[in-house]
Amino acid sequence: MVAVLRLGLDERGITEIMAIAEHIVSVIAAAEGLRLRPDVPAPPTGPATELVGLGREAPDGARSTLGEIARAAKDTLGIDHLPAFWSALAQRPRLLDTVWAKHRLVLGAGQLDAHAKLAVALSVAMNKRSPYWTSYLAQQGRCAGAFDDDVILEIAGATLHYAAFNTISHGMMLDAPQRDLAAADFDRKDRTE
Amino acid sequence: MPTLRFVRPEELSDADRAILERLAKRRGTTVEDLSDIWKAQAHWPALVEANLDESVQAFMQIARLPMLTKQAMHVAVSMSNACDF
Repeated sequence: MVAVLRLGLDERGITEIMAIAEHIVSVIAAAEGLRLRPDVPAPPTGPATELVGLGREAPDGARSTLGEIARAAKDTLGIDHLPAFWSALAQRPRLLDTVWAKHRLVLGAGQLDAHAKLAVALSVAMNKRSPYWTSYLAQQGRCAGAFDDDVILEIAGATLHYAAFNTISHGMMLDAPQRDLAAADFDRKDRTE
Repeated sequence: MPTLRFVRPEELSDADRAILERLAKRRGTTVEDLSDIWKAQAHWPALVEANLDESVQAFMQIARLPMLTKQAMHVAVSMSNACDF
């Protein structure tokens, strides 16, 4: 965390990173819990695994948000179908509205730009071993022009390293080296070095 | 508190100490002041060397992603793994 403070983020930036981590972990829990097969960029083939039906007509209350998601799917994922994750949530329109609104908020540009946020989100999806969200976010990054095979491999390599060092610190029960950090502790000179 | 005491530099062979000195030089510090994440591996310096080489290739070497993005990824993955180090 010290490193990102030194590189120019402040408490708001750290909170943006935390938001990506918690949001992606939460949508992974739902997608993998519902046993959704990756359907971005291409719809799945083979036997269905989903715990809920995805072909049901959406309630009236979900139509507006689903329309927005369909447009976003075309623009940001390059696909003409509605991703299964959002189709599944559509049976609970208020849940769909809130999760979609948070998804846009969390991955929208802030202190971290949108491309950086997609890289962070993909790294979390890889680390949490989510086939659904790894496929989804990789495609989103490709469509945004942020990822190609090289960048995806770079993200995988970095994720490999984080997983290794997190395991070392857990396994050896290392104490955190810093507590109660504040952006003000890092002066302007530190931030630009 | 760590589960295992950290190795003392005087307990290391010359070859093993040389590995830690290379790491410390790269990190701009001394063997004694290395981060605990490295000290925790130092009972087996060959592992330190393997992890250093891996981390340079996987993380430290700037390729296409800016360092801020990589550090942000590190924070997010560590948070998702409930790692407070």
